[in-house]
Amino acid sequence: MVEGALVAGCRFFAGYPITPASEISEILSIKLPRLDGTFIQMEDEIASLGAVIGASLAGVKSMTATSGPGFSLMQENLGFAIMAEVPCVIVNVMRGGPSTGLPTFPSQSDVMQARWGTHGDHPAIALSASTVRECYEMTVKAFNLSEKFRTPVVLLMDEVVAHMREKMVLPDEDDVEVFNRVKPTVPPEWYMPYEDTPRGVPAMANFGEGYRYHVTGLTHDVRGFPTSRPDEIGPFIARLHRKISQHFSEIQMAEFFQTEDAEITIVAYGCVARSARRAMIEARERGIKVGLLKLVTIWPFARSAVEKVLQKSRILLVPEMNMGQISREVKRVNPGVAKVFTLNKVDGTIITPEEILNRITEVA
Amino acid sequence: MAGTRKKKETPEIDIYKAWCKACGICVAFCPTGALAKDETGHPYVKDIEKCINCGWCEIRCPDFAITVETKTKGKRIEVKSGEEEPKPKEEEVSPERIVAPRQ
Amino acid sequence: MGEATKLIYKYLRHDKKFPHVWCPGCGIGILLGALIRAIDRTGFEKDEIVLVSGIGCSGRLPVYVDFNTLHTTHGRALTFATGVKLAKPSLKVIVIMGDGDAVAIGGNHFIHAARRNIDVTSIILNNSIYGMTGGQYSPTTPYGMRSSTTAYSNIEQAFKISELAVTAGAVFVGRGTVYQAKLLDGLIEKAILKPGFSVVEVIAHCHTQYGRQNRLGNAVEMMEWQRDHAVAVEKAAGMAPEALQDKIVIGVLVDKELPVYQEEYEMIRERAKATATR
Repeated sequence: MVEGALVAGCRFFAGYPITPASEISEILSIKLPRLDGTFIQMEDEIASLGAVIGASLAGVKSMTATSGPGFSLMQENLGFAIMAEVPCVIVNVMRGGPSTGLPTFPSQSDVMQARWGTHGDHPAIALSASTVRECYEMTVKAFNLSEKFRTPVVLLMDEVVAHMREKMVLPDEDDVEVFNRVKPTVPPEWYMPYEDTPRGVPAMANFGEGYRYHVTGLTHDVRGFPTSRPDEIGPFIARLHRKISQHFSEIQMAEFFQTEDAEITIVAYGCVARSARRAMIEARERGIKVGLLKLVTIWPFARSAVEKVLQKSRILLVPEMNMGQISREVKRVNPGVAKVFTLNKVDGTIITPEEILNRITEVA
Repeated sequence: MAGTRKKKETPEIDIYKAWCKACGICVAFCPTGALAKDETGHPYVKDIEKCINCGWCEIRCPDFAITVETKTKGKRIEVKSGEEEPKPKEEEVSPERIVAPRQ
Repeated sequence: MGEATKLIYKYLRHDKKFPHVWCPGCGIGILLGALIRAIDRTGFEKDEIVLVSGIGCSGRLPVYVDFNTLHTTHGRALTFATGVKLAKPSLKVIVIMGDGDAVAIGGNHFIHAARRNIDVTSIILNNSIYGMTGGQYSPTTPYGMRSSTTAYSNIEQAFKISELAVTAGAVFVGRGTVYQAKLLDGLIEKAILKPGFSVVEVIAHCHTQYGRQNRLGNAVEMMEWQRDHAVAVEKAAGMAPEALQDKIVIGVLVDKELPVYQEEYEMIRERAKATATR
């Protein structure tokens, strides 16, 4: 993941120590200064994300990493980054909650927090990873999406994936697609930092490059100045949503495993997707036609992917290490053609292939 | 300070009514009483001859609504002995006089 | 147009609506003038200046001036400023905060920015109250005073912002009042030019809230109070503590040398590169 961040161009990290995300800080504190980047340990997570946003405004790709309790503290500035449209990446290595919860045990309980944690009506992009290779790829992807759409991107990991050791060959740096923010080409006096564009994403000038503009967490007009005019507020908030919603196909990633003929499809993400895949194979050995839909993009929810498996499957099973967060979404997009079953586990241990297999035989 | 001064810089005070919020600061702290309030509380120049061009009204105006411009004219003005120009009190704490304490 | 006003107009954003949002007689406007004069004296280009603010009355200041301006979340201005400065050290970062902003919700960020000695200038407008939200008591509301949330009396002791900054390790600390506006020019200029974390505490009046609730009069009367209670630091050195009880000591309180964070980090980079190639 650290390698992914560095390849994507990340040169600024601010964080606060927290289990199980501290390793990311430790490695970056060694690697970033070698690349003329900056690592700083801040006084808390609020400050960490504040510094990350500041660095991004100054033109440096920036990230932070935390876990549940720190992610709670970051919600304030996460909202700021959405509002002021500042690209940045936040890694949340999920652990059991609420509160201090289970610092060293895995969980998937921050899925909804990544969507609705900060106040106000806002769009959100959150990605997940279930393999070490995906950690690398999704970190690059997170940076690319954040720069492309001028928005913070949350990378939801869990303790299992974050501490996993797997062999992977790092791709050649030149083969990795890296997106850099679109800068204004107009003269400074014509620059509108928050204007609408066909893509819905305005060009972004960095501080100190001649485009002196105003950045604020207040609802603002196309020039960035605070506004209370309904005819400016409405279109602005609508654009914030539209810039994501009109690019769903670009953002939403999912993988299908043997879903073509599947009567039962498991919908899973993160470390649970690994168990689910194993369970799928074993179920097929027993003659049950099971498929797997692995969600990589968590938010915006990949409705079209679920609709695709609903063409064949009449039973969906959503195993999750929470009390049912993504299963709500699956139920929401299911027009009644399939039964949606859940498998929830919140005791700090991972959901095993056997547990999923047992649940499959129950519901089949 | 007896005798004559060769050149008295007769200042010109401009008040931008559109920006003025009539807070009264310029009038209250004018050291010579050159400014006064009208019935609405807005300042006006009562006696330009009293203006010593200290600039404090301009410096203290929170709304950038008053400005003093120096107009150099070859006017000779008698200054009678004993009638010294009042000095604004705040000279006591001009930044030049403030120095860092030795560490 | 006088020279001072010409200067102000050079830096104001002409597409913003004036008069500005603050109450008639508010000290923030006076501070804005002092800030502009100070920045002009330092000779920095508009493009080189990043003006960061938090939330509250003071938070509205950057919108009026033609710099790179950043209006952040409540109390977090210094964290954003830290990121900007470290990512692009060529920028001159100036932070405007209120008293609640800097030492209540942002108190932790304030002491840590001072401790780290990040090269950022903090200007703290201390009006002893939360003005924008309706006059609630702040950490600098003096003991025994009234506010919207201390209708009976404030039973908390007030923070002394400058002294807090000194203790936290700021390399430059100055205090002034908006009455002595020209002193502010000098203090802010010195603070901006000082490498490391510099603080200028600006004692201002909020006659609309603090003044009204404590019957301290209008803006003029509150500024007269500033005039009558301000004591230059040299004079204060020879005064008894009792005599200084209700006084505001103004001037440069601290001006010292400590390693600046960015310069130290540059050394870390060199060290990191040396170990990488070994």
